[in-house]
Amino acid sequence: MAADRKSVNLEFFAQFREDRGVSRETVRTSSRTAAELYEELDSAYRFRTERAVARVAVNDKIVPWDTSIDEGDTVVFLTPFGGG
Amino acid sequence: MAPDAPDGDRLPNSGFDLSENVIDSAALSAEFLDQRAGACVSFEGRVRDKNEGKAVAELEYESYSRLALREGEQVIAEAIERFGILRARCIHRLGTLKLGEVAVWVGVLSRHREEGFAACRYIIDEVKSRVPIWKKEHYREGDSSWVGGQ
Repeated sequence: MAADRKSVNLEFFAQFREDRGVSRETVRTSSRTAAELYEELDSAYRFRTERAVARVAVNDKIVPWDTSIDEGDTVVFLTPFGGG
Repeated sequence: MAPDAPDGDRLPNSGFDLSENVIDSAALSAEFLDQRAGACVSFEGRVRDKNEGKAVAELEYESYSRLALREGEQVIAEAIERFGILRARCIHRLGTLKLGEVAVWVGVLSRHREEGFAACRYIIDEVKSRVPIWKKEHYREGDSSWVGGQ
């Protein structure tokens, strides 16, 4: 529904950045949760990281996948970390 | 006379940092001082020439820095609280690293060695699992891959 569409900021790192081809973008979406947003983008970009092993941060905080997404939120999908 | 309570988190050379520049462990150790400390424990993670049988040429690290800095500071604060150490510091490198370069440095100052070893181990383990930093291995054969979740 167009009325429910909102603007969301995305940032991409590591494998997700390479899969998407950009570091950041703003998209219009009607996805209600972080999981729905992942599925929507995955169908467009074919992410190589399964959602089952990825995590998501909304506004710089790691949150459950069923967290709702609001206008102006910043969403980052996270592959397993590899520091050290 | 310094107070006896752990107050490492309020001192200037505690904390977590990310660095695009070469990590100079000797310089970090030299300035990591506290007269209350009977132990200084440090750990260096270095770039190894092989991983899972593949010859590594160089590594590339990137981070989600806003979250990495906050989570890294949280790990340091937990280590100070949990082990009663005096100071703790961790610096993680970003960018392209050659073989043998330091990828991460952890330093802990404590009154005695037991809590120093334990806190140092805690910090490196927690940083590896909780701080959003990613590593891409570039192999001598020319291919590369993101390595995570280990």
